[in-house]
Amino acid sequence: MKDELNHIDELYKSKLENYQEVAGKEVWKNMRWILFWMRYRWILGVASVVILLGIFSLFYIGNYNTSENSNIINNNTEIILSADYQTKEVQQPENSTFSSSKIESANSSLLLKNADVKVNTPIQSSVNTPIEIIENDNTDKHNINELIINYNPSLSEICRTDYGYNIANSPDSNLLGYNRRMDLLPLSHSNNWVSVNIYAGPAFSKTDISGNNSEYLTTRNNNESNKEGWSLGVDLKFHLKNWIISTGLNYSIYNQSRAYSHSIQEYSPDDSYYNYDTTWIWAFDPPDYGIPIIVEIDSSWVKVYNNTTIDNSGLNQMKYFEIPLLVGYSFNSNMFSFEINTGLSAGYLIYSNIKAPSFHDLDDIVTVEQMNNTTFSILANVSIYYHINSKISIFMSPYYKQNLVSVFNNDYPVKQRFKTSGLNFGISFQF
Amino acid sequence: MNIAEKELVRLCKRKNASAQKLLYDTYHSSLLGICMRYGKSKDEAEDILQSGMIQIFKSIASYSGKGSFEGWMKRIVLNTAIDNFRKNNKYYYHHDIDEINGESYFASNIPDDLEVKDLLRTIQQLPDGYRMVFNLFAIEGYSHKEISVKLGISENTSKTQLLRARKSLRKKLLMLNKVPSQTNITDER
Repeated sequence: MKDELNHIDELYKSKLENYQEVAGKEVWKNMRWILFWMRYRWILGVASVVILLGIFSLFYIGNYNTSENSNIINNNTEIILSADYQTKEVQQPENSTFSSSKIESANSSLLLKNADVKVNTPIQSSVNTPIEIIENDNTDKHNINELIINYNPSLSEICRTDYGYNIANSPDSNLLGYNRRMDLLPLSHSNNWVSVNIYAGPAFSKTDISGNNSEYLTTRNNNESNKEGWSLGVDLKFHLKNWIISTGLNYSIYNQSRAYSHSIQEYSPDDSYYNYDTTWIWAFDPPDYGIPIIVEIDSSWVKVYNNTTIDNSGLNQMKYFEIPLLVGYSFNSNMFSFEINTGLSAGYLIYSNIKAPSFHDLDDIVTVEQMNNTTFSILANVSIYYHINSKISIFMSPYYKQNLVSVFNNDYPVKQRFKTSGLNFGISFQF
Repeated sequence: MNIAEKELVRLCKRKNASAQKLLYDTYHSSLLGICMRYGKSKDEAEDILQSGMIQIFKSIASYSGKGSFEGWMKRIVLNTAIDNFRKNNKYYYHHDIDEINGESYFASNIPDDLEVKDLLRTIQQLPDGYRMVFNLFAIEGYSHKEISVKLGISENTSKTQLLRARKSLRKKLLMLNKVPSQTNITDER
């Protein structure tokens, strides 16, 4: 009994101990990225930007021919479609049981695959002849292949001559094969390990102001309102199975409407005038009634002040270059992919025009110079991709971004953060 | 270890990408051969291989150069497979030896001309616990005591799993018409 058991053990051991099998290519593909990450993780941020700029420049050079095959397929589709609507008069061979007939709608014939057809054609008829499909019926049946070869020579000729497809040899399989959208499978990002997204879209920023001076804060909150901004950028995404690590370069504009205005009275010399105070006396000299005699004139300069409105309304604006570093997960289907990404974004201020009330005089609107040149934000987005083909997708990406640090530096007694919601639209290229 | 292998290890210790690729290309098929016995499918085996290879590259700096380099890699991949099993089978059911009935296996006359793919398939179809114990005992040559330590089970459980694995394997081989049925054996006798 023990020997019998050992026989099974020995059988498996002898057969499988040195068994070898070649792994799929995707194993090394996945490992390559993990090893790359292990090797360069501490400089990944810098390396990503360099790679991004390199790929970005390549796009501008325009060397990418995204889908040569799809062009060929499209060309072929056009030919077949053009043939669809041809009505071709064909001549029946003498030894055939058919007379001359018209085969209408070549496409419908071709799509029948190998179905048998029966052509009910009156002799010498010139009217269009319907093609009747009869399955499993051997009466007057002709294979559709023969119909195309024998009765539609021009279609075969066109395709053979101009496009190199010999439809006549195997018309069904060839045509259906070329008509098929070969690029439908698989379109998702799952088989690509790098993708580049180019996007732009509107953004709406809500300002969160905090500080100790409540009167100042109230003034600002009452006179400043949210205004839409926008952003555009390029993302570089590394795909590891369904996980995504992305970075990029984003140009963001944050806008804020301000509506500061107040009235002041301004002295106007032109409108000012002298006010005269004259002292008169009446001198009576009968029989005259009296003569007015000015005995004193007192004058004073009356200053006139006009009401003037000083309007400091306008746009507070900040422009940043931002570098996000996000981790995401994607859910892939055939034509669509959904991504959820979250992470941090580092921003570098390149332009600011912020006017706000002075802390000493709320009516005095001054330019704020105490800006923080760098800022950090948390960022989350959900992206929906529609795959046009295996290389190109379009996408829509609603996102939320919130400043972690104030846009003003520590010298400024008020802290201001943006909470931004936006919607980006873009195009994604997979490599 | 020959000179080329030494150089390969040295470059891998320096995280040279080409050397890593060469090491993978050279050894992955034999390592996947091990993983195929421990996984339920090729996909799972490739996952184990990937984890094992990453572990090899992580710990290659600790490889002293003594002993067979391939043997060292195989041990790492084997341990990865065991870790994978333990991770995915936290509530793995422990059978007791007493539950086994004393069925005869009638394993005599098993032909030796079985296809390797068939044998592999029968192993992959075993329940996880059976497969682990059978591989470790029958092919790797571990004792029940060592298996109990590695898998965190009792020795009795290990024995039970082994017996059930053998029984199951024989059944599967019978279904493949590779092993004479019990009736046939009886008739012959």
